[in-house]
Amino acid sequence: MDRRRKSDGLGPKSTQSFSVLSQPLGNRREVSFSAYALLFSEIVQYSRKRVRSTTGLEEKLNDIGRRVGSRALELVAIREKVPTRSTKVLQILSFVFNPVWKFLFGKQPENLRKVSESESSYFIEERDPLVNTFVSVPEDYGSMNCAAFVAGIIAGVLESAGFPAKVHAYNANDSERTYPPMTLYTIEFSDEVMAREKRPGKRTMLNILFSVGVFMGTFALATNTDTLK
Amino acid sequence: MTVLMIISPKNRPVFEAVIPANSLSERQLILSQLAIFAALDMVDEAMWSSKDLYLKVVDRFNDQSVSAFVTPGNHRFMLLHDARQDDGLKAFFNKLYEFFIKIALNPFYDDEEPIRSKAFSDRVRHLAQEYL
Repeated sequence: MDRRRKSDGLGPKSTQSFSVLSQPLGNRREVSFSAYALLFSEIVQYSRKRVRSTTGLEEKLNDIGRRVGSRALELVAIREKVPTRSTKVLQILSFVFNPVWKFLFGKQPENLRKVSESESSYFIEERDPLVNTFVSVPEDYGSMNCAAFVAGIIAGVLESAGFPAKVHAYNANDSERTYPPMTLYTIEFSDEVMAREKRPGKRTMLNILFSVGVFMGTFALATNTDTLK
Repeated sequence: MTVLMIISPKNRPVFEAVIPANSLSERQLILSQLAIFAALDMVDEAMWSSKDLYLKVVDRFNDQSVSAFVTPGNHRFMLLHDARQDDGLKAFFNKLYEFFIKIALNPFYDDEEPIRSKAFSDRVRHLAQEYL
């Protein structure tokens, strides 16, 4: 039975059954930029026909991005030399900033910063996002930005890693009309993430318990010697 | 006797395999499911204090152990196995992780959906023969 099963071609060198499971995960092929741009323009057009407002369009792009993001997380993680999970906000942010961005767009965004007024908010600045290369938003669409798709990807990565967050894409310096334009992604983590972040780790808890124990011990000793006297 | 379960981030079992197949009575199966679900609490605690994917043995149940592996996307692989065997476990989980990603990358697979692929379960059994 076992032998038959092996020769059935369940091993990696199977020729019998074609399946996604026999495809290698490691090799990385570059995708043609024109194909990518065409696909993205189709996504935008498809979504545009199905919404009534620019915010609706942004939401739609955001949703599509989410599906990309949750898949990108696992794939990028396994292609790292030592796959790890992120347990802290800064770890997951630098994971998004560096490997994920490189995998998706072949470059890094300009800046990752913390919003100084808020504990739970960060933003990423990117000059000329890849998806916007051939996009020029009509005047009457206001400040809509097709990088909402990228914002969705970020949200998808963060959410499936266990850090649910609201992510939005904005045009920065709208008044100055700099070229190429800067896009801002604001990331606002939900309260549960910040609560978990503040929770002391196992080691600090042990330290606290230990010092409390030592304090109680000395206290007991002191009172004991007092009564002995 | 080994039981493998994959639990989605929203705590839904998406895959289950008893290895070797049909080696458990219905009552035993329910009992081992219970043991695995009970160990989930331990995993939830351990997974935020370690960066590793493989969390080793997280819980014990009579003479059996529950080992866990958490993917970066918070899918949890739970394995109920005999206490002594632990050599091939890490390699087993890593291979399983690769197969799981290939399933999850399929655009026709939605999150939280049970994995019904015959090829997947065949391969999991094959892996188990090789490593466990």
